[in-house]
Amino acid sequence: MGLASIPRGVGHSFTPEYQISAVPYSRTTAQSERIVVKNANGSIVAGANPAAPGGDETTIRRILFPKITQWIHFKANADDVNVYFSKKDALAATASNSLKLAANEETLPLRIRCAAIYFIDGVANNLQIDAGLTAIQSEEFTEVVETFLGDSI
Amino acid sequence: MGLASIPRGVGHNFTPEYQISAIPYMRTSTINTLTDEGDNVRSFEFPKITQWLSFKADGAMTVYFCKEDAVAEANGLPVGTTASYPFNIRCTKLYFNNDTDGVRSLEKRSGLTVIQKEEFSNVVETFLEANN
Repeated sequence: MGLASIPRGVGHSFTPEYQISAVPYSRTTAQSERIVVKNANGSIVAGANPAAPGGDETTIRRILFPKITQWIHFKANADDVNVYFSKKDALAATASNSLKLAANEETLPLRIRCAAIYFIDGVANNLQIDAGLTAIQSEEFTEVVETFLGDSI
Repeated sequence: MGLASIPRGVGHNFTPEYQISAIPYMRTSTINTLTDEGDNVRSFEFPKITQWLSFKADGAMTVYFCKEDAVAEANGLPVGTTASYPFNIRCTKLYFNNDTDGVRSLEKRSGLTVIQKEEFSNVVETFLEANN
């Protein structure tokens, strides 16, 4: 049986998937992708060149999870890192709407349900991100947290 | 599917919302910029009922869960520069003593349910103040 055994459409709140143990998934910020978003509302500019965003656009970084997360554990190394849960917040001049990790700070596994996390483009490449995934398709939760936090899509 | 999928009126004790993982909600603010509740008390309100809470401040300070305790500076949760454990705390509002902690910056790391905060407004406060 493959991992994708949860029927599409059960919804992101399918409780048993949060009660059983999770599927391990580890990444670092070095593996984040560069995306271009509109400054006004955080919407993604499809096909834009991250190296040359338009005047009203900004390049940020994103890690997309292949399934909805059950928990995420963060371990910063030599650099401070701010973790954002919406694209618009990652554009903000201040980090007040972020998880602010000091150098060498390690969180406990935080029971966070999301499908993506975001960083400023200049984020250090050494943040360790260890997630426990459910088997629920990330499409069930795409942009849900983001729109709750203020993004337009 | 939007986030506000829980019908209004299910109640603050809708168990599945505390069994599944929570919506991340991170906010950092200086205490003296928060909502003025009078009597030198400031407050911070979450948009939904919390499932868990962790705190990290830029110095020693105290978090209260009702105004009366914040005024009296009693029965609070002390926090500091090391992030606290994520406590399974169900509430909608935090209170602070502005005289003592007004200049402090507090990072609130929280996981939210999707249950409307109106289902739980003033419930913790009423309980705590009745037991003072």
